[in-house]
Amino acid sequence: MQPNPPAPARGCVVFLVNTAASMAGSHAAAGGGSRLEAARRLIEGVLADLAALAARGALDPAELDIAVVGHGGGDSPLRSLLAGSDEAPFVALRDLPAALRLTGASPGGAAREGLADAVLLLQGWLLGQDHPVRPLLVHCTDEDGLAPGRSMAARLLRHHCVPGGAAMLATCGFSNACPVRVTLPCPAAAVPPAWREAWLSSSRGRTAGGEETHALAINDPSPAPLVRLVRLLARQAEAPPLPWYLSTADPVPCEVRVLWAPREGNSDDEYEDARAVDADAGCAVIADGASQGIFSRRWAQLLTGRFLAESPNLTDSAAVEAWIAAARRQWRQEIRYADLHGLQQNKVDEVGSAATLLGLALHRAAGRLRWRAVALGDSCLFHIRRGQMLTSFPLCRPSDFGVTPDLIPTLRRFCPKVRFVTAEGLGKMEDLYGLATDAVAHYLLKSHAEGHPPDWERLWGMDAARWRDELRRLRQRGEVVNDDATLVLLRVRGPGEGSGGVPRTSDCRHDPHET
Amino acid sequence: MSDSSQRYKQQISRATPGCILFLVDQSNSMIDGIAGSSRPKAESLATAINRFIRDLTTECLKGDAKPWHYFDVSVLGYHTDDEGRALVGPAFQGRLAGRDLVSVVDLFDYPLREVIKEVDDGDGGLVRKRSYVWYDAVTRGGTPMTRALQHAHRVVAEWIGRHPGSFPPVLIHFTDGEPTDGDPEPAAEALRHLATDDGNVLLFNCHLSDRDVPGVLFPSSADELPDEYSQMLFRMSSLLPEQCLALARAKGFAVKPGARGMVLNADATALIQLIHIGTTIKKALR
Repeated sequence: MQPNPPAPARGCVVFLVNTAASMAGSHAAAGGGSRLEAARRLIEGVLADLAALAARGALDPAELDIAVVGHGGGDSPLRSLLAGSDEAPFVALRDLPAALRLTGASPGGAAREGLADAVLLLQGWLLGQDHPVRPLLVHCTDEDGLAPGRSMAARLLRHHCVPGGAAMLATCGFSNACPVRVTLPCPAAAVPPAWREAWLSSSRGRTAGGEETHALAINDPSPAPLVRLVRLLARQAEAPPLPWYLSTADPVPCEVRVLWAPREGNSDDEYEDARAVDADAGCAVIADGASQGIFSRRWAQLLTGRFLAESPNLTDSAAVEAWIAAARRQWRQEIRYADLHGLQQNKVDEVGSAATLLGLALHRAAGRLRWRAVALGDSCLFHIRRGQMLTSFPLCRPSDFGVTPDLIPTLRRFCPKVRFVTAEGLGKMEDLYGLATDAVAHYLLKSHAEGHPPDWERLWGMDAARWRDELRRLRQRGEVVNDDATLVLLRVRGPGEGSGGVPRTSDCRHDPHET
Repeated sequence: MSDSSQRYKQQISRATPGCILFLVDQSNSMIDGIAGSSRPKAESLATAINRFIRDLTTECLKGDAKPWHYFDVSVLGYHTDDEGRALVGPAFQGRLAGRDLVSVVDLFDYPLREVIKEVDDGDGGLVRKRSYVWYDAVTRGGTPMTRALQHAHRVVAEWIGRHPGSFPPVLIHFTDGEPTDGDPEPAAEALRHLATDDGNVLLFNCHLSDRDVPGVLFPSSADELPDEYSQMLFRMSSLLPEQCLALARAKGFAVKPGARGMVLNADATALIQLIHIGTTIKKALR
């Protein structure tokens, strides 16, 4: 199939502002006023400069979406600080008022981790785009906003990828404790100890001289570095989008373990999750069929099997649409619609089925072991190294599991344009990868968040009977939601094989200021 | 029974199916309209019951040739004959006639009749749509409510004997009038006293009063009700369990703690909502 002409590339910048009470503190480095006011001035400066660039024709203001959201103030979720955009936080740069003043940013409440919420916001944006530019998230905060859990959310964010590369995280710190000015991009030597973790969490690049830098600024009122970053990202998107397939050349064969069980009280034939695995190709796909649907088991099986076999080009929306249309046709044929009872036909026509989808593929490129993942909905990938959870994708907190995940429906009208979020990362030979549907994924993330992380090696070695026994106990204790359960574990095959060429970190990126 | 927070938690599965009973006053006065409407109460009620059976059966269709046996359903009717003798019993007709309880599989296989309509397909054409009827309205004679509750008691007790681990049966009683066979409250209390390991039977009452009074949904005090009969039905109704309260609130009802599963003078929409609040509780728990 010939790729369609690409849709215009569209970018976004999300400013995530810590609006907790601590941000009311004065900010000496910015000439008085609070830290929040300093953050506000910085954001208003960036937006004014971007608007000026657009006025000169250097940037298309219709194709750059802006969101400014506050986090903090106790348990409140993110709230938009752009006037009138509470329901839809993204506003095209073109539609922002000329002299923008951010609203509702009065500081209050305790600091809370807001980055994971912003990642969900960004995923929602990505699912609406045919040709996204690498998104940029700018986190404006003091030390109090660097809450536990931020590193995990930061890694999740930076693993998101679009045709031009990975999503970017820049951190703009406002600090009295560190009365220094640090300019983005920031080399290691310039980082105060309190900001070391924030520096590591922010996107990485390299100077012309080869020195490692990260996208961190502290007490820097100048909008120029951020504006440069936005321009750089926009320029990268001028090239046509490269194809993106889950499976690529040079796959890495894996060993695989599959653990599954139907909802307690149901028999195996009522299980509506599905998985398709090609161990030699280092690839696995799982799906969670909607229990409210009809023929959901078959739909989940079809989606996983076809995705594994066909690996559609996810940067070509016509190819994705054709892939789903073919799956829908096959489903309708297999359920023998014409022969069904009227009540079944009505359910097929009115409800249909739907399923989440999550895929992982391991491959080697440029001498490095890499993973790629694709997701729609709340089935989760876990990347484990030496028992530690490095990343989960696309969700990273137990509270992220809702009752209405994104799904691929059999009825086109329920989602006329299905899109996926995609992620990439680097791995090491000994790493373990887990793909889980929501009940198991929720339990694993909850265990991790509560400080008693899952014993992944034990799971790897667990047989089916033991797994079902444990699951039954966990369900009885209410620790695992009683739902169909699936956990597929992969590990690179080949005992004794060295990790030559595989870098130490899992999240190194080609950041724009690296090139 | 363990402590109350552990009740009403059981999920519906083939191993632990659910049970829904409709107890329908078929007395002569049910021919009048609900809440000022000209449509007979009995007909609105039959429509609501048929729609409910359709939805429940459809929900149990998973992709096998038949629905999964997740629910048993009963429609029990009561009225009197020309001599005033109580006629209480199963109200299904056709192949299901005479059966107190039928499974969703039987409902799927044996509707009373199929109705085919041509409806707009949303794309300029017409599509044939099949719908089904399981219960036709009946109106005749008086209101032997106590006998009806006693009959329901036998049906429910027998079902619980076979399904002790299930979510308890939910019984929804529709009536428009005063009982003609004595005080039904002891029979209602005995019914509410039945329990599975997961909780007591839930008895909801829907009073379709002849009086021109404003509707009341899920009252928490008998004082909210205008006459002795609706107050009697209030006393006969189960307290809404916490999950029901949450669902009712989610549907926009301002329910207070202590609210009971009762409505007065519900129109057809509120009627269906009552049925849904009484039954979707299980869906929400899945």
